[in-house]
Amino acid sequence: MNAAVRVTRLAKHYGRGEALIRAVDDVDLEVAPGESLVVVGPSGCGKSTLLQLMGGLDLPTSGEVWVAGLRIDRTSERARARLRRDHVGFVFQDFHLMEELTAVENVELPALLAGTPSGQARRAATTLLEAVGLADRMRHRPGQLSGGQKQRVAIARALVNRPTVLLADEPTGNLDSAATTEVLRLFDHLRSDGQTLVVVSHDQRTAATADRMASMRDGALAHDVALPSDTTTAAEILSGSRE
Amino acid sequence: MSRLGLGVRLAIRDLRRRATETVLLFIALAVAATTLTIGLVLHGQTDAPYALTRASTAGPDIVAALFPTPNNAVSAAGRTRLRALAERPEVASRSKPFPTTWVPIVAHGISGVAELQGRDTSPSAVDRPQVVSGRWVGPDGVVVERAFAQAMGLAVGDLVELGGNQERVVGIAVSAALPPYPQLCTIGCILDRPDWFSAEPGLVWATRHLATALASAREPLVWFEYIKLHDPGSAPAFAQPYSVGGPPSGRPQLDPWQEIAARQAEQLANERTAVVFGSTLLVILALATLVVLVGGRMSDEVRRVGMLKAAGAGPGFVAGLLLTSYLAIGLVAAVVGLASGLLLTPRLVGLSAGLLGREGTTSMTPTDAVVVVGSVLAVVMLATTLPAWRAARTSTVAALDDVGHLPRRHRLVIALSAHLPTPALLGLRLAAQRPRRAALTTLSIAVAFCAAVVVLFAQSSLQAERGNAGGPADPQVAQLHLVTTALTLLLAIMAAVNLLFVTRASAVDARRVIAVARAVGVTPTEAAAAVGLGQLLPATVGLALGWATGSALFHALSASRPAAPPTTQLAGLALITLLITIVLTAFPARLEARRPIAETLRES
Repeated sequence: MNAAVRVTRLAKHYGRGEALIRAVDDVDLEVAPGESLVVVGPSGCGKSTLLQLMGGLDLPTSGEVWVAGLRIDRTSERARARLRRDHVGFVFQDFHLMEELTAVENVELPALLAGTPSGQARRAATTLLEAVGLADRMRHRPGQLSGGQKQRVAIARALVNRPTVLLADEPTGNLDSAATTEVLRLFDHLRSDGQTLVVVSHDQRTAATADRMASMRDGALAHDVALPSDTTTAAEILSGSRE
Repeated sequence: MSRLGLGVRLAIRDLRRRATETVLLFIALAVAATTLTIGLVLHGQTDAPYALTRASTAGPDIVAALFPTPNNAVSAAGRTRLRALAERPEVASRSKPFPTTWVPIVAHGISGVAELQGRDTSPSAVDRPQVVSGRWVGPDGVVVERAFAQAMGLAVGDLVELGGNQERVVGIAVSAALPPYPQLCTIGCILDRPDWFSAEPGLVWATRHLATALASAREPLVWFEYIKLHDPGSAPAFAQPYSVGGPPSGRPQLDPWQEIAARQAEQLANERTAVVFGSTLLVILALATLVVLVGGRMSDEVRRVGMLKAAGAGPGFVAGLLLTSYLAIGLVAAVVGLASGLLLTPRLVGLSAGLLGREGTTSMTPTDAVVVVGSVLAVVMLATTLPAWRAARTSTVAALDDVGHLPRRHRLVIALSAHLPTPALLGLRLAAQRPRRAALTTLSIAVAFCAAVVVLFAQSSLQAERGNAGGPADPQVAQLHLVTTALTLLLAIMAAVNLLFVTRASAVDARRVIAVARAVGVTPTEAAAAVGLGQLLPATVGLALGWATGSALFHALSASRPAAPPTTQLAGLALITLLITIVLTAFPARLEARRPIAETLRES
């Protein structure tokens, strides 16, 4: 079976000579369909760059990137745009919601941009917002939502085109403790539903939502371990934060 | 370092950091200052050459013309009245009466009408035309007035057909006695042939014998006598009693030299109107350019203002810094505009060939210079003060966070655009978010296209009024064509500069939206098309407005019934404008649409 995402000998370097920065350095990684991977590590270790390379937002210096069986590190920007549209959903730390659009309009936007008829896009957006617990916030604009609600809108937006893989870059980085729990619980549900997830975070609690955890240091993978499927720790984390 | 020194240093560094914008803004202001200068210089342009010509050719103070009664030659009684007039005590000197008639003229395949004036071979006491090429009238040839010679393409030595006779051109001359071609007939002509009704005759001097011989029953002799008064200033009062009671019938018609000078000035009146109209539009566009530039810059500069304020600069210093940089550009542009205006005026709005005077010499009063510099600086102040003050008043924390303005929500646009393809969906929403910027695009295109429509209407009307297929060229029409074309070109350049500014500013503003859209699958081409479309929509509205306004303006300003240019010509112009708009917006749009997504999202 093809991996949902696979990177081989992946490297991303900036600068040259003494100023050379190895943001990602010779990384091999594979994420199976339905698997949930969390990549942790200190700030500046290259995990966000790795995620951007996986999603085709940036091109590597060397190595290969495969998404849904398609190699994307040698393709044009146009082809990568199509791949993002059809196979990748992004969740950003800063949400990047359109301030002038309501929650439902934000969620339906990628579907509309992909050419989905407006009625169908609206129905999909409504269903997703209900699923993330924001049925009563559909007509609200981002400025009227809390941080956790904004991130749930962003997650719904990332899912609207039914992506092969959902890539989340520090999704709880800007959230308080309660909002973090809301979002992590949502990721946990997504994992249960079989959604392939790659979440980059410096928050160890994110591991509670993952099947596997990889840690990075200085651009390279330091550890890559499978997490027990039924951990008390996860339950504790997800319930403990609620208190 | 003093605060002033620091401010100047920061302003210079800022201008150098934004070299492209600085150059474009400089061009916009310099072009406006140039046309303003041309408009002002033109006011004093006509008097000097006419005065010089009058002095050099012993120009008359009074032109007395004795027209015959219908179907009769000038009577002996009429000639006695003319002689009696010349013997009045106010008269200092006079010429002999010169017989004059109108005959067809053909040369180099060009057909026209010549006002043939019979002259002596010896110089006259009053009106001694200055021969600028060749020599004076003799039995072997005729002399042609310089403006008419240029229109007919005549030079010394050429053969012309005058009333069926082959005559050689022996000289080209200039006189102040009668208005030069094509305004000769404003003093009086007899053109009693249907095919001559729309003709503009030119002056040809010949021997008395030839003029008399070519006179006919339909074109009988008219007698011109030129008079010098003791007091040239009293010429209008001297002529006044003779102009009472309508057209002369057997009595002299008198025209004072001031009337001839006014006719001469009319030659430049159309050009002056066009230049004043054009410079007004250019100043409006310069203002729009500034507004766009300042607005765009403020979007970029909020964080810098925050840093300045965090470092201890007060709102006054920050506002002063922003103002200083623009005022400096404005001052340099105004000076350059003054110089180029002075240089261009005689070339763009050439002196009539019918007058003496050196081309390239123009005069400007200190008041004119103050008006130009003051206008440019006022425009800069008007466009800059408010945004500069607003930026300076932004709270330091907000400026450092660079939260920017919240985009506007247009529910209808959002709902409607949901049914459109990707570029239209994004483009429409982007345009709706910045309505003032869209309005500026509309204004720029509307002003430029309005001017182009007025020019087309003017050229079409002139063609209809003065079109004389196979006849001599009309220097006024050619001159006006040159002036209006040059002005339209300048307006088009300004509109293009504005469009580039607006598109760039809009693309910078839309940077985050585009990056997010691209992250969810929008291609760079679709993103570029969206930014371009965001400008194309208001530009199309501007085209429609410009078309309607230009047409209405010309109808309102035109004294006579204007002739409309073919609709295909106007539609073609609109199409070309639209294509240019697409090309111009494509550059900044593509640049922005190809920006690395990850980098943009990190920054925003």
